[in-house]
Amino acid sequence: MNNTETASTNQYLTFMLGEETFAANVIYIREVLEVLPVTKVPRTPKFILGVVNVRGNVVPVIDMRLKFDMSEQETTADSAIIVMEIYFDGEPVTIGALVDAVNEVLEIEKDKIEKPPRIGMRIGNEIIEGIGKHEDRFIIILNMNRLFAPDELAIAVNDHRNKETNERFS
Amino acid sequence: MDDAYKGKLAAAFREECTDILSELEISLLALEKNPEDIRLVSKIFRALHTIKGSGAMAGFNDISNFTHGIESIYDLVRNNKLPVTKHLIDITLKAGDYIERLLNTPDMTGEKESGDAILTEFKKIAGGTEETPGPPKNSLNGYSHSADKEKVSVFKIEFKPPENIFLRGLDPLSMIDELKDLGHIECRAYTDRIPDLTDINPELCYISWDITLTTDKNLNALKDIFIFIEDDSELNISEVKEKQSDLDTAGRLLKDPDSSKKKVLPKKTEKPASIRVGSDKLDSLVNLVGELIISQARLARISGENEIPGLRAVSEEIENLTAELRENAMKLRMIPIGDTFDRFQRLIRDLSNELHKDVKLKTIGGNTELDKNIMEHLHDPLVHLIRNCMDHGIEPLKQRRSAGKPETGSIIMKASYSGAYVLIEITDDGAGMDLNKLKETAIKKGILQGGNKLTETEIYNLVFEPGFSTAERITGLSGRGVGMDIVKRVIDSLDGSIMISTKKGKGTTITLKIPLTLAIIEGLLVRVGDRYFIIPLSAVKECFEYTGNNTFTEKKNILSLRGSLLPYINLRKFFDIRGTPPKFQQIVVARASDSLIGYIVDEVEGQYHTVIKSLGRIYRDLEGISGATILGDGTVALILDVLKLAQLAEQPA
Repeated sequence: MNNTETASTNQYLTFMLGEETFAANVIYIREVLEVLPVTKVPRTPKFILGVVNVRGNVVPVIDMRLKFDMSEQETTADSAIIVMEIYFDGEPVTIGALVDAVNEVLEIEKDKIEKPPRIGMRIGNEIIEGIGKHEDRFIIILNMNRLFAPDELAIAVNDHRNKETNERFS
Repeated sequence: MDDAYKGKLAAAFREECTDILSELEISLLALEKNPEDIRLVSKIFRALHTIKGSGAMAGFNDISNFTHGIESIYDLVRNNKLPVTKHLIDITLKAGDYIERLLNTPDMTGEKESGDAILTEFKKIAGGTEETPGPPKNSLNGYSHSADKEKVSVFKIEFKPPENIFLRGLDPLSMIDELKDLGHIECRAYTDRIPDLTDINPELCYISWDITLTTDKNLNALKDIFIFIEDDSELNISEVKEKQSDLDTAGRLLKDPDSSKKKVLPKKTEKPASIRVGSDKLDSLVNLVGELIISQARLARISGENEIPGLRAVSEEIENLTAELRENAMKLRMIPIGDTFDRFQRLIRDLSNELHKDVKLKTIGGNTELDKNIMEHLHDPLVHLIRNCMDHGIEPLKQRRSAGKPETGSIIMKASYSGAYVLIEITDDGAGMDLNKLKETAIKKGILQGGNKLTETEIYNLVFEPGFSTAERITGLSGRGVGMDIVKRVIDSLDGSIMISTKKGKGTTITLKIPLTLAIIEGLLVRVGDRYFIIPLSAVKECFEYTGNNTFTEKKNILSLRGSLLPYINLRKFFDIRGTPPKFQQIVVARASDSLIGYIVDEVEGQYHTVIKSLGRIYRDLEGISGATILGDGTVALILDVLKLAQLAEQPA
C-alpha cells in the first residue's frame, strides 16, 4: 500500500477535539469551512454524519469526535469542517472532517515526532502516525489515509442494517 | 524520441487504429454483400495502408509488417487480379482481430504463429495469380530497366502539399524519395511562394513540385505515396502517353510554371463534419451545466422571495437559457445507436458460421441517439440477446424448411424514440417461446411452485430468473442459465425495462425501454419532516392522500388500493426521521420492475430537474439511495433507489 501513501511535508494543520490537540499533514487539506447544513444519509455508521454541498459537490462528513469514541456534542461557533483528500481503497476521495476548532499550521520536524506508545491510547493505533512535540505540548499526528479501517465501512453498514431492518419493517 | 512522447504516440495510434479496425470491419461486411464495389475495396486498402504507415511510425512494427502482407493482397483485388470471395473476407476479418490483439498486447510472443498462419492463408489465395505478396518493400523497390518485362510509362505529377503538412507529421521530401524508388524522376521545385525571411513561418511548407517519373509501376502505386494527403493537396497526376513527349512537357513546364495551376484538381471537400473531443471534456461540460442548473434554481428562489424590479425578468431569462443549454449539452453526449448496431453484423456473421444457420441482420432507426454512457452499458446485454436469438430463436435449417419458412432467418434490430425513452426492439422470426415448456422448466428448476396460476407475461418473465434456461444442450453461446437475469439487472440499473412478446412458431420480439440520459433526470421532490428526497419521476405512477384508514394491516405494511394490495414503506420510519407526521400524509406510488410500492411522505413538493451527483466511494455499500442532488437552497437531497427499496420491502422481515 506504500504507493497510495501520500508523501508528506513537515507542515501540519492542528485542530481540537475536546481538550486534545490533533494534527494532520497539510498535503491532505483542501480547505476549512464553517459548519454547513448536513443531510443525513440513513443506514450508515454513526460517525459518518451525512453529506454537505461543497460548491456543487456532494461530500461526506465524518464526525471526528464520534470516530474517536468521544461524547457527542453540539457544534459551536468554533466548530469547523476540514475538507481533505485522502486515499480510500487506493483511490482518492474527498471527505469533510468535523472538528471542535481549527488552530493553526505548524512546522514539526521529523525528529520531533515519536512513535505512538503501544498502550494507553484511546484511539486505534493504526490511524496515529506519531506524537509530535511543540512548545511543551503534545500533538497527536494522524495518518488520514488510515481514517477508515479496511472493512470498517462495509461491516458497519451491514451491522446497522441487520440490526435495524427488522424494526423498520415490522 | 523520449519515452513520454513514444507513449503518447502509441496511445494515439491505439485509438486511431481501433477506430480504423471497426470501420474496416464494416467495409468488409459491406463488401461481402457487394463484391463488385470498387470504392469499398479502395476504402479497405486505404484503411490497411493507414494502419501500416501509422503503425510503423508509432513503433508497432509487428502490426506494420503484418498489415503490409494483407495490403499487398488488396492491391491485387484493387487491380482486378484477385476476386472478392467469402474466404478472403473471412481471413481478413480474422486478420483484423489479430491486429486488435497485437494492438492491446504488443509483446505477445505466443500469438506469432496465428499471425503467420493468417499470412500463409493470404499467400495461398494470392497463389493463383502471377504476383505473390512479397516481403515488405522488395516488390515495390527498384525501377526495372529490362524493357521486355512490363510497359514503361511516364507520369507527370504536379504536387503542391498543404502548408501545414509538417504539422501532420509528414515530410514531402520523403514522398519524393518514395517516388524515386519507383523509377527515374526529374524534379523541379517552385520556391516563388516562399515569403520574406521576416514573414516566414518555419513550420509551414511553401514549396510545390513538378515531377516527371518514368516507371514500370501503375497509377495506383503512385497514388499510394500520396494517400495520406491527397485530399488536401493540390495533386495532379497524369500519364504522358509517349515517352518522346516527355521532354516537351518538361520543357513547357519549365517555361511556364504557372500553367500547372490551371489544371489542379479541385480540393476535395469530403471532410468529416465532426471533430474528436475527449469524453472527459464532455462529461465536465455536462457537470458544469449541472452546477448552473443548481445555481439557477437558487436564483429563481431568491427572485421569488424578494420583489426586486427587474430581477424576476432576468431570472426567468436565465431559466430559459439554462434549459436550452442543458438540452444542447446533453445532446453532445448523444451518439447514434447505428454504430452499435453495425458491430452486431460481425457477431451474427460469426454465429451463422458457428451454428450453421443462415441469418441476416436488418437494422432500423440507426440514427436514434442515446447517451454514450448508457450505450456503453447496453452493449453486453444486446450481445446476449442477439446470441439468444441465434441459438434459441432461429431454428435449424431442417426445421425451418419443414415449417415452410424461408431458409434464411432474419433478426431485426430497431430503435425508436418514445418520449424520454428509446425503445430497442430485437425481433427474430424463429420458433418463439413455448409457454408450457417454460413453465415445466421453471417447476423442474424449483423457480416456480407447481400449481401456481400465472399470466402469460409472468411466464415469459420467468426467463429473467437466475438459473433459468430451457436449452436442451449447452453450447458455447447459451444454455448455461446465466445471462437473461444479468441482462435484466443491467437494464434495471439503467432505469429501463424489458418486455417479451412471442408467438409460438412465428418468432419473438424483445423490447428494451431505455432512458435517453442518466446525468440529469426529472424527479419528484418529496418532503418528510425537514428532509427532502427525490423519487425518479419515470417510476412514479400516482400520488394520493394517506389517512391511515385504508391500511389493510399495519403490521405487514400493506394497504389496499382500489381493491388490490399495495406494499408500502413509511419513509419517516425507514429513515428514522424525528418529529410527528402531519395529519394528512401523502402516498407516492412508484413502479419498481414489475411491482408497485407506496412511499408515505409528509408532502409532495412537485417536479424537480434533478442533477444526479454520486455519493462517492464512502457510501458504496449503501442500499436504497442511488445518489444525491443539490436543491435550490444549497442543501443536499437524496435520490431514492426505488428498485432496491422495493426489494428491501419485499424481503420477509
